[in-house]
Amino acid sequence: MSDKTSINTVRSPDKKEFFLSIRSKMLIYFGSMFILILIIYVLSEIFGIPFTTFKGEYKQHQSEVFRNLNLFADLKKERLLSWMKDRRADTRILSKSNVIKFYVASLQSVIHENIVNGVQERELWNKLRKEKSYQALTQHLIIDKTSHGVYDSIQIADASTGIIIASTQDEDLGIGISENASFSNVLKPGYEEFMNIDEDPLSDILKLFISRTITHVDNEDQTSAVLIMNINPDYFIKPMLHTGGGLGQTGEALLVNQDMKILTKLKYPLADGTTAKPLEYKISSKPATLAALGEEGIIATKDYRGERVLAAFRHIRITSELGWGLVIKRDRAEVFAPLRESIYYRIITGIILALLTLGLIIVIARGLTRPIRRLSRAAREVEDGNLDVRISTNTSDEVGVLATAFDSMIHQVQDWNKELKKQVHARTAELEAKNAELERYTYTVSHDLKSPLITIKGFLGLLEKDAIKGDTERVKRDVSRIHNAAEKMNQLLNDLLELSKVGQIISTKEEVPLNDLANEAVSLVRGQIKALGVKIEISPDLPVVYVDRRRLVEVLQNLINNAAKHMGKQPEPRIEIGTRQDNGEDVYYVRDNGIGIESRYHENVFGLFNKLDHKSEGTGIGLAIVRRIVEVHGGRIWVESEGKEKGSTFCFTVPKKGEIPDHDK
Amino acid sequence: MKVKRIISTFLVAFLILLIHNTFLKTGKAERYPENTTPEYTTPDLSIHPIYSNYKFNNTEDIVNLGAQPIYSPTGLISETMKRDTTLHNALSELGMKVRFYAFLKGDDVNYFLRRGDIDAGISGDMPVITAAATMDIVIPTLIQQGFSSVIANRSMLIRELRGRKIGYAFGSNAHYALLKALSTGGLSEAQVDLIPMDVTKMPEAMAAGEIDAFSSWEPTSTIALTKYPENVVIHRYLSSGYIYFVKSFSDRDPEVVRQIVAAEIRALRWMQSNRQNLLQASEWALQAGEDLTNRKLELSIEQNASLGESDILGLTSAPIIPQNDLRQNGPLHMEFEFLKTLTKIPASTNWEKVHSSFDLQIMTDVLANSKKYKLNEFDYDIE
Repeated sequence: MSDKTSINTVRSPDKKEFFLSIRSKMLIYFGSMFILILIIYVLSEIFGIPFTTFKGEYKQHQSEVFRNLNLFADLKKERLLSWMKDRRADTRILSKSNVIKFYVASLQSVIHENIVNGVQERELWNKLRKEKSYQALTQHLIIDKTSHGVYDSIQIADASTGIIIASTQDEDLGIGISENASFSNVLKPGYEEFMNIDEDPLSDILKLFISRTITHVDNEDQTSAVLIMNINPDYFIKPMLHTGGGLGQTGEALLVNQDMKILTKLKYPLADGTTAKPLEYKISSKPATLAALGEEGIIATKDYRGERVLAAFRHIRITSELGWGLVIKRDRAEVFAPLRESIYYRIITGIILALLTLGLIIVIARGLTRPIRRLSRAAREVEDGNLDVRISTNTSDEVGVLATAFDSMIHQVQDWNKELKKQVHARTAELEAKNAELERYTYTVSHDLKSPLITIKGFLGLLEKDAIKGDTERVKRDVSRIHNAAEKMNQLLNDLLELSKVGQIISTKEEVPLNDLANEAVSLVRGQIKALGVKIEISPDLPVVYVDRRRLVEVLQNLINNAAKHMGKQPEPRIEIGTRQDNGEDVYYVRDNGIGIESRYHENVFGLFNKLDHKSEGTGIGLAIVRRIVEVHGGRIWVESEGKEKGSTFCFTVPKKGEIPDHDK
Repeated sequence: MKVKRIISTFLVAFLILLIHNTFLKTGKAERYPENTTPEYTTPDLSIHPIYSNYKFNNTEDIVNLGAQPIYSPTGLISETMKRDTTLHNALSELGMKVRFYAFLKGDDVNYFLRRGDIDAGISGDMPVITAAATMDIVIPTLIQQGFSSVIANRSMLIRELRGRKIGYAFGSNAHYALLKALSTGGLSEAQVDLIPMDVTKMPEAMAAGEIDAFSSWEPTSTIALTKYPENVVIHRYLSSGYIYFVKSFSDRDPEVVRQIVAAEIRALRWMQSNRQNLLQASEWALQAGEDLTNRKLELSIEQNASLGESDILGLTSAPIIPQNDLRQNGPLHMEFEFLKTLTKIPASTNWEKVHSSFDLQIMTDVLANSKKYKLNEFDYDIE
């Protein structure tokens, strides 16, 4: 369960791990780089590149609009100037006409005569209407008005009285206009022409007045009358300022006089919602002010509504005294609407592109990092102890090579692990056995050593008593018993010493025929064998073994000695030393036909001081020494017996030269 | 790490460019420091390659008049006046003679006026106001009313001139036009790089990339636009020019002043009466300009004549100084105040001193006596 949890944890990385992963880094690096490049590209395309001639769409569009506004402004200005020039020329031609001068002089003469004769004003004008010169002059003016088709009316006023003496509109006759600017200003010294847009006192509507002096027919220096031609600006100037669709929906042309008062109606209401009246509303927007004061140019600013506009402004200098300001403007919002739309679509396209790119980056990153992630997961699983995990990638790139190497490495680790476990298991078993043996050894040593000591202690007490009694025989017997106990203790200690020495191979191993060793061992116990009448058979085909000669002789000697001691009541005691093949392994044995060993004692017999027959001689350490020697050689030893009275076969193995010892397998 | 470094470098470079472009690209003021002592005059012009050749005769029977042939349309008028037999005869009857000296700009005229080498001059409003504020002069007549232009090598807003090199002629109308233009764009002189230069050399300097814009008067503006069609007028300012006299001279010889004013009216009327006359005057003016600069002006006779038409001849037949221009807070007053803030004239100068220099009565007198001053009698030495 804990393993599973651990694996699950590995497969569900937390946020921190996600941000540390190669995939997220690729996503962040390449994604942010792409978005940055996209933003810089779009920004540079819109706003241009600093320090280069590439100005970007924004400035190009702005330049285009300003060019358009300039063009409009120049055209309007030229048209206005040209139109005004024509009107001034009309006035000049008419005022300089000798015919006009003649009729004016004639009329003035008639008027003078009638006034001298005391004719009343109303009667005077009626009489005047009947005068041929008046009719001719009026006809002349009407023809002139009709032929030009521009003028509302043409009037001629007497210079000295300011009374209209001829007009295209009969009802004007006799009206005094001396207070009118168009009349009074033109009569100032040095002036011969005057122009202004003003409210017509006769009709209360806004009009453009062009007035000019008419000199006396015989004297150029003497002004006799004033010619006034007036035009309704709504019919002529307003159409000239019409911008049509060329400046979009918000395009507007407006005209102001030198006092910054508007001369035509504005297209839009003012910021407060009211409608500005011509000649009343003084405009304060910058382009209009600049234009009225004689400046020309382009500007991005706010207009009279407070709206941000792009404007071209022009000063229209009509006379040295009269100048108008012309503003051609367009709302900035409308100007840049196409660009904003373009930017909007670019942003949308950019976002889609960015998302597609991010998706592509994710797909590529996933593809590229899949083996790495599998590698990482596998490493985590290995870390958690699962050595069965394999990556098994079929790519042949660097990651594929790494995965293959990883698989191979894990396989190797798995083998080592198995071997290690096996060895650990064996070593553990060995250690456990050794521990048990050590425990037994400790117990046995303390127990078996204690036994002669108790004997000695007991007989020392008896010895004391017997000595006091003076029983010499008993004293001798007590001393003998103490001596025997001491001797046994000595033998026990010698055997223990011998056992401890077995672990140390004192001479190097060599290859020797086992026969030689068997014969040597038999010769060493020959006396005992002979006494017991045991017959020993040594197999002639015993192989050569690779052993410590002296120790293996000791093994064989002990086994023979042990077999001889446990013959029981066997009438024909026999010991056989031979070899056999078990699963291809040479097994050496010492077989007897003695008392046999029950299977439950098969292991115990090799224990320290374990004696199945307590009456038998010896300390019970012999087989322990044998097993120790065999094990030190890297072999095994065991006993085979079918039970009591069925004899025993002590088998052992020793590795051949170059073979791995059993305890290392 | 490499990617991080590349991105960081890129970002830092981009930010530096952005910051530099947005905040640091200000003008260099070292060529034209703001806080210097008032500069009412140009440097010593006695060693000027052109003016050093002039031999001024300052006797009382000679009127020395400083004119500007390359200042349209004053060149047409002054060259016509120069050939006006009626004027010469009238002055002769007064025991006087008139001599015309050609100058490159109004500030130069002021220099010699101040030195006493000349008695009268023809200049634009800026040098005239400067003269009126720093000397005693009389200004009886208008001689020009046209535009000074700021011309750039491409279409741009005034505020885009920030940090750019701009050619200008110190103390001229065009200098004032430039300052007005800069103010509309929210810029000051310190925020641009002003390069003083001869007005006739400005178009070539811009074509060579030495400057990004320049401020000039006619006919240089038209020459620049004709020769280099890519040039664009980005701002124009209506300026005016005047004939003005040293007050002591005017007080001593008022009739001479009136005869010269009459000659100007005559010249206007002569040119207005016949296009051929206008073309003749245009040719004289171009020739005078070429004689002055020793180089051919790249302007046709027709073009020069058209400039004359639009800048005065089409406007009036009587060059009366518009009273509207002289009012408090009118264009000349505003220019006067502007010049004070720029320390071009002493801050203590009163507008009344300048205003009183304009004498409208002289023109009224002349116009009222057209026969006496022979305003409609034209006799010019065509040869």
